[in-house]
Amino acid sequence: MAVKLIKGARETFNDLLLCWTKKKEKAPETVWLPDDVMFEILVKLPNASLRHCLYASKQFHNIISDLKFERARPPIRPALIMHVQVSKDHLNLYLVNDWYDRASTSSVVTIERPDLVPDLTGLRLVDSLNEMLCFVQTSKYDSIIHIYNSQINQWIATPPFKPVSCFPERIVPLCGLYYHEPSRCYRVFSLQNDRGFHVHDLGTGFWRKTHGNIPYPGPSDWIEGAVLMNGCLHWSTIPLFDEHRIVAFDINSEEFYIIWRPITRKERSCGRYQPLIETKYGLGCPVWINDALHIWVFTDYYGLGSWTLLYCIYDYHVLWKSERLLRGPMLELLLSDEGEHWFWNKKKIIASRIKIYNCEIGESKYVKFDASIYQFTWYRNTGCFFWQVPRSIRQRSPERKKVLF
Amino acid sequence: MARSSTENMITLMSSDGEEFMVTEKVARECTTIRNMLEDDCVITNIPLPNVTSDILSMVIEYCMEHVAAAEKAAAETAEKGSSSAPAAAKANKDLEEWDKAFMNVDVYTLCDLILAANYLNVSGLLDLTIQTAANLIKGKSPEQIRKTFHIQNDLSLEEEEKIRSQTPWAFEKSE
Repeated sequence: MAVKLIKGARETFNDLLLCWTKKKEKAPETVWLPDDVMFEILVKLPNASLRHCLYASKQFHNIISDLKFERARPPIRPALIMHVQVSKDHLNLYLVNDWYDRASTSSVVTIERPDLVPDLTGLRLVDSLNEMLCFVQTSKYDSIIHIYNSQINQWIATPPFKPVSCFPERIVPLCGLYYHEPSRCYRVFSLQNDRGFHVHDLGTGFWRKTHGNIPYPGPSDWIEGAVLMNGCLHWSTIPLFDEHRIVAFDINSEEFYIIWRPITRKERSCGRYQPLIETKYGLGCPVWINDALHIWVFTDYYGLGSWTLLYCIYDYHVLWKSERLLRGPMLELLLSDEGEHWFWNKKKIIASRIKIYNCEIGESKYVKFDASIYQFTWYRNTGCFFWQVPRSIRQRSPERKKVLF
Repeated sequence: MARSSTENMITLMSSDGEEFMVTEKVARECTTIRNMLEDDCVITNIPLPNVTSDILSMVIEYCMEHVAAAEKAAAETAEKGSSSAPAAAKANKDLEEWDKAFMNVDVYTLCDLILAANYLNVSGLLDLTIQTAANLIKGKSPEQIRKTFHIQNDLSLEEEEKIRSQTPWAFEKSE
């Protein structure tokens, strides 16, 4: 009887032990949350984290790749890179965020030098797209394009190439970055010294010359990247031999077109030619007429292209003090710097102030910076998610009708 | 009627049969219960079959704290005629600190709390827990996310490859 009892006790003990171990095994139980709750959690994450979540599980992937998810996310507005300070081992980007708020904030982002690049000096920012920054480094003999992916903090470089050398003083060669939809890959383009337009696919990793030559010779005004719109890259040519023209390069068919600028006899010649701008209505072209700045938009792109006057700006400071205007991705903002801090007397410049004019509402505001500004570029992080085709019209590649230029 | 007396007590019953006596004001923090009370005001005993007792006690703790904070702020405003900004800011900060300490729980409890907050519709608690969960995911690799949330990787290698091929990302190779 006693033995039995003990046996019984042992059995119960074993049972208990088993139960306990089972419970212990059961402890790393999978956590499960319904889709709608998970949705709420994932919506709060930044892009960089979402990228990792994509591979975490099926549930995560299904939620994120849903179109509903993308719509629920708050829109990210582009930041403006006001100034890029380059030293040997790091880059400082001075950014302005929150355009439409009255109290916009400025911040500094530091990027460390990657092992891949021995020296960062001479790096210039030429373009940006979907949170990727495109830099060019020019030495005496050749140029290299470096691309920095800010989401995953990685760099990639193209093989060196010889840029077109029509103007020796031009330190920035014609180059930029775009997204090629059919091959689902980012591409870099540049104008090289055989007068060819070359394309570098970041997937395959080599330069390739496009079949057509640029129809209009001579380099282009190339400080702030090309305007990518309606499936074409646009840039305006330097008024050296002829009137201004705009060259359009179709990124899918790799053909070139010429667009004439809106011709007006009253146009005031200013020393520096204004670059093209992106507006939400289409390709924009700023023209000075008398004492006003007119912004023309190229409409009816796939039919008979024509220019339409969009804005006339009579703002005193924009007119008289702006050395340069800034194009904005889908924004109607113009930028001008406000005197007082410029370079000519070789003073060390501590702070500068820029004026931002919003054409849409006709108001302007100032942003102050603790650095001198000499390079304006957009940091385009509006784009889209990295796994989806960029949704803006900039990247649209519709069924093309023949363009009549 | 129930609505007129603020000190009306309500019994909440968890899924494992434990009963919690709370004031109606605290119970009204949960939108689900508030709706029940508004539909039928003589109700005093509410069974909550989806919530266990330990989680329910935490939810009640949260609601009580927040009701007390709101009452205190209201009393101060009534006393001084107008609320003084620094005092209000301090009270807010205290409450934030309390929330932060309250969220010091393991993942299982957190997920149970999210589910309970979702079911009972406590908006403040839901926001707090969801933000906490989002902070847990932030900056982690897929493997770490799975480990943190004890999720099994149900993506096969081919599926993973497929996702990668769909992501037009220049640096995919160098990873």
